[in-house]
Amino acid sequence: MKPVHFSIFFILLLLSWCLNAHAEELTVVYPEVKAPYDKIFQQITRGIKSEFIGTVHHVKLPRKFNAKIQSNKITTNKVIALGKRGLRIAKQLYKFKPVVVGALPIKPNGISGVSLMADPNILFETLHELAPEVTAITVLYSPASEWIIAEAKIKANARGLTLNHIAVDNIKAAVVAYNKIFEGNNLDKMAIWLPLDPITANERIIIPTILEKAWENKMVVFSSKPTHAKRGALFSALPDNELLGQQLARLINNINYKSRPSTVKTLETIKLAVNLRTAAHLGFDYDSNERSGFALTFPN
Amino acid sequence: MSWNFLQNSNKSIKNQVIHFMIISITLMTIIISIVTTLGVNQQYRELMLKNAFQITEGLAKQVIFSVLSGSEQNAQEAMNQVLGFQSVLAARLLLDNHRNFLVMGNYPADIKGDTLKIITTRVIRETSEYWLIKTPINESTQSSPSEEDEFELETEVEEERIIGYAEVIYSKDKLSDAQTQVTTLITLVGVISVGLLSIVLRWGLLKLFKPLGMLASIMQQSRNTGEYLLAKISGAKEIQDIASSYNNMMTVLKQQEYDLITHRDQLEAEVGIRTKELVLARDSALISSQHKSEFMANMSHELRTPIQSIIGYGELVIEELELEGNFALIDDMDKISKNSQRLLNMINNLLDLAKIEAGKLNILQSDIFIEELVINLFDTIGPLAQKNHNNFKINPKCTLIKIINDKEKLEQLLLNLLSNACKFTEKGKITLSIYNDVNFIYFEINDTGIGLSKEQQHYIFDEFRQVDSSHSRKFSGTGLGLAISQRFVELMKGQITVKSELNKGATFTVKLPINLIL
Repeated sequence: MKPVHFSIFFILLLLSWCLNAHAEELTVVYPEVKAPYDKIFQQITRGIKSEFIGTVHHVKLPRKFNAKIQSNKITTNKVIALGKRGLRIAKQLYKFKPVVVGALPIKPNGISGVSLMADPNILFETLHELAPEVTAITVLYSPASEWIIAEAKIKANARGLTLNHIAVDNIKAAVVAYNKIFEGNNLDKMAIWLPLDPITANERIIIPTILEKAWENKMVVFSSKPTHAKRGALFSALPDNELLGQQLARLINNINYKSRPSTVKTLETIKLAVNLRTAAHLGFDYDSNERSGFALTFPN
Repeated sequence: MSWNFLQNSNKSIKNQVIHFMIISITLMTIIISIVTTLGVNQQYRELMLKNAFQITEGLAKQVIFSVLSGSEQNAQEAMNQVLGFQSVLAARLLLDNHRNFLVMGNYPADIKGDTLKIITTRVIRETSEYWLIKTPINESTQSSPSEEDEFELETEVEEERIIGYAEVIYSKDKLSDAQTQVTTLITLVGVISVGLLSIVLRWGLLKLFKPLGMLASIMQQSRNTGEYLLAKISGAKEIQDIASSYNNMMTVLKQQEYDLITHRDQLEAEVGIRTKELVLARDSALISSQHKSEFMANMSHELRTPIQSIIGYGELVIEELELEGNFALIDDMDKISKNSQRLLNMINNLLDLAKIEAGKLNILQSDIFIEELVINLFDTIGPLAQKNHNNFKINPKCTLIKIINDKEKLEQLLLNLLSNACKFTEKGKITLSIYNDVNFIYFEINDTGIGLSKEQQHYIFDEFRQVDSSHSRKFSGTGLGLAISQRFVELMKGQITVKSELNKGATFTVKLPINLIL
């Protein structure tokens, strides 16, 4: 063998060793759940794997577990925590290593992650496509969803939409505010945006009445929560789980866990769930092209 | 009543069982019907209450928004929905301070506003016509936990805040109707069941008990007719066993009867033969006895006649010898005379005995004067007693003057007994006591002579038996005196007894009826 060949071979070997020595490892922790919800975490994990260069370890969290003990078992430098149980692990680790949280409607609160809250721009763009007559959007928010309002306002303005944002801090205030909305005029030009908010989009008290009144008044309601389309909203945002996984993988590579404030991103890509009965009631008729873009339609 | 009936042995077991079963089934059906009715009615009531609770709670959930917003209009649709239920008479929404928020329907006037604070759905008031159900309207943001919660952030658990109350007046009409229907149906079913069961039971039991009845009938018939009737073997196993045992018993009895009849016939035949033999023997004995008696009578007469001649001629010779003074020959002649007299007495006794055995001795009833009898006896026995230096006494303690009986025989037997007493007593006492009671007269002869042993007392009344029958006996006699005396007493419908101890004398008692009735 000639010396030059030997040198090239040696360099390649060294490079390979270096690469192997510094290969990244990541742990993804997520809840152990039954079907069909387990598919969501599988899709997210698939997305993470496709984006992350390195070894991805999985940890399934049972319903009852000790967060401290579980977090101590995680030896990788990077952690992606999914769901509510994942968040408990994230809270143990985020100060010591890079941790991002996903599959939760998080807001900036010290831990980085990708919120389930869809990018308002995408929502408004969809609104424009599906209900072009709407010119004003009303959104009630509480401290849980306050963080997105500023961005939403900018994005709405950019699209020529008026965003009426009403702050409330309890259910009663939300109810009163919503009631007042329905007493207003030009409801056919207005849409109600239901953010991922436990007060302003309360499943038990608010949503049933809002959807009912919206039906009666032929008002558009769209939501950031996937299940609302099934219940009667015109459309709601569905996360693309694989793309969410990729987004999480990119984020974990880029965050500096030591810096403050944390980085919380909105969903960059969404899928649409559309209620065609509501659409018909509101007078919207979507052609096959448009329908082909809907990930889910209701009724089934 | 049923227990007395069960113990009534006049009723057949079949009827008793049928009655008992019917009564039991009826009681059981009644109890089951009552329990079922109560249970069903209770369940229906609980179901209706549950339904009412659900309606009220549903209303409370639907009107949260309306109560929170303070808008009655919002609540009206929910209220209308609730009033759409047939059983809901009225509904009312109250604020948390119990002020009316919205009232719809016919709220009963007698219900005054209550301010009862509750935390769960309850029946506030119950009448025969309705329930008043009240439930809190909770401002709870918590929904039921699910797997979807994994995609929600943890929220602070808020205390459930009661923002008002929902009341519903729920009518009991349906409940009453349903309960009446259930009760009627169950009663009807019960009655029909009892009826059908009774019919089936009766039919079944009649069939079951029929073989037993037939068996009892055969037994009855057998008892009445005395025949050994066999029963048909049929029916349940136990009845078949009884019938089989009964048939065996009848067969055995029949065989036993046959054996008895055969044996009886045999015995009768033998008895007939024996009777014939006995009759022959009796006749032969009677003839023999008669012959004997006739012979005795003839012989006694043939014997007595020459003896009497001897005695007569002997007395003549004695008289002549006395006249001649030939006293040596008088003693010899005296001996001849005495022995002849003895022989004559013996012949007379034999004759009497023969007559008695031949049945030819009759009783001649006549008046017997006690005083006269006593004198005769004293005159006759007095000298006889003196021969052995005995003291003879008569104690007439009798209250009677006379009796009616055979005088000759009475004198003969008393003389016989007294002469025996004189013969067997030396230097002693001989006493004749005569006493009486209402129906009988008693002649008691007591002596202080040699007495009799127990063994001797058994045979002294036998013929030809004497107390000393050896060849060298001391006392003379034929052994017929007491036998004849006993026969005489028996003929006179009396009784003769003896009490004695050896060497301590003897007491012979003759008991005779005062008035002999033949």
